[in-house]
Amino acid sequence: MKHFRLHFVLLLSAIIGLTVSGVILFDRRLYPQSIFAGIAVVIACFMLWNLVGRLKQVVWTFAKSLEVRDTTTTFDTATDDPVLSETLTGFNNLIALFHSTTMELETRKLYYDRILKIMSHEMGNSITPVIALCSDIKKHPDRYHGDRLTEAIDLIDSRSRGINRFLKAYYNLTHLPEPQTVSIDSREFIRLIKQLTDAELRARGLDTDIIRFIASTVVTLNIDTDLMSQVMVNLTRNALDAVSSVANPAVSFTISTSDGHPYIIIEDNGSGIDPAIRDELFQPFVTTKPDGTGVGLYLSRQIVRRHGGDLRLYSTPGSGTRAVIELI
Amino acid sequence: MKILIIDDNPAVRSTLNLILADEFDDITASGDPRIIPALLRNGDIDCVILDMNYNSNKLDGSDGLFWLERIKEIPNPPAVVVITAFGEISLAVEAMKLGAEDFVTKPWDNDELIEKLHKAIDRNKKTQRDTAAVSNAIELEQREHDRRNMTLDQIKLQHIRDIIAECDGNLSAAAERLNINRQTLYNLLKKS
Repeated sequence: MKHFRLHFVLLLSAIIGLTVSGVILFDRRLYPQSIFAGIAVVIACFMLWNLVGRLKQVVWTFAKSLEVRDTTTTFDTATDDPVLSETLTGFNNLIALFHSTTMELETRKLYYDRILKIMSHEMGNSITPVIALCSDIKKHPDRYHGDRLTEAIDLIDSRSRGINRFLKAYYNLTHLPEPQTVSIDSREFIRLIKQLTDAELRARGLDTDIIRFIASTVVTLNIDTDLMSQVMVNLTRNALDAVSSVANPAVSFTISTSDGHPYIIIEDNGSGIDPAIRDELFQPFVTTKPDGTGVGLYLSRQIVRRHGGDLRLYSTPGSGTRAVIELI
Repeated sequence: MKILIIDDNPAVRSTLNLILADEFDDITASGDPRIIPALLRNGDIDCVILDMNYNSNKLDGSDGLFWLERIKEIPNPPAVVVITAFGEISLAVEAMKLGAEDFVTKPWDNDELIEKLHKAIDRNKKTQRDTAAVSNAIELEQREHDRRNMTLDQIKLQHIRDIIAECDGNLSAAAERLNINRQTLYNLLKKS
């Protein structure tokens, strides 16, 4: 296909030229020469047909590749016809797009398969005690008194609530609203966060000076304050959980800038995160806590990403963890 | 009868404890399957209730199958009833092939679970008796075979030893059964 245009023009000219000369020669009664010209025309037509066939072959190969999902086909785009070259490049791009879409769908499928598996596992483990205990209490009410009854009822209660929490978490996962951003001064935002963190500390019966606020740069944030507050609360809870067994617990909030981007950094001196599971924690329904739903970090990251930023975790086991939110 | 429950979910463990308390004398429960070899060492557990899923990364039952194999490798293993998630039939079949006596899915029917546990224990006891009988038979066959190649003196000595064993090492009783006196018995033993 390299010299498509050239060959095409040459052959077309050959056909016309030979046809004309053949007619003229025939007219002049130069029969051998005219026969020669005639044969040459036939050969030229044949070669032109061949060239068109090669073009058809390219299109057929393209269509067939997509049909059988063979994404390894590539076309040599170096031809002398610019339109043809562009078309072949287009074909290559379409095949590459098809390839990446297929991969994405496969990854998505595995991802959802995993989520469904985890959900069934969680729900199964919660509904099983409820069913078994209710059935037993109904069948043998005489066996359930005092402590035994209390234990059974507590289990039914806690498992039912667990299912409810799980459903709520799943709802939040699938109904994340689009951020409505406003401009807010970082100091104002810190005031807002402090109220939430104070409430969290009070609820845990902890000292308010465990959390320190450092706004080293005064910067304007363009954020949805409700959604970002959710992220802050979630990261605060994680930090407080991490420092729960530390002698001198310390959590710090910093707002700063780098490269023109505002950064919110939450650091704790807690137990840290095992590097093997650190990336996994961002996946939904993965948790290190016995009663955790496992959607906190996933949702937080989703919210930050929808603001155009990102959320990253850095941790040294035994030393502490740092959550870094980069915004635009 | 003694039951061992292995399930990583504490609520499920507590529930099984409550449900089975009036059916079985002794119930032990643990969330970590790695403790299984230690708990089975005494050989006094009649049945293990084994959950199939532990590691939330896998959730494909491979952990459960691994531990099932470890349990059934022990000489005279206890009965095993596996617990699978709803719909995991192929996993249950796989477990049965590896020696599990039966399976239940979550959620289960309490009466059905209890019945399956009893049946599993019975079946397991029968298997143990059969296994013992077979190995006894093999041993007898072996001794018979050996006897063909023994000299008369060797046969006499073997017989004396067998009788002494039957009398729990009491030489006087053995001598009486053999209708010889103790002195003869000592001499015969000394010669060997």
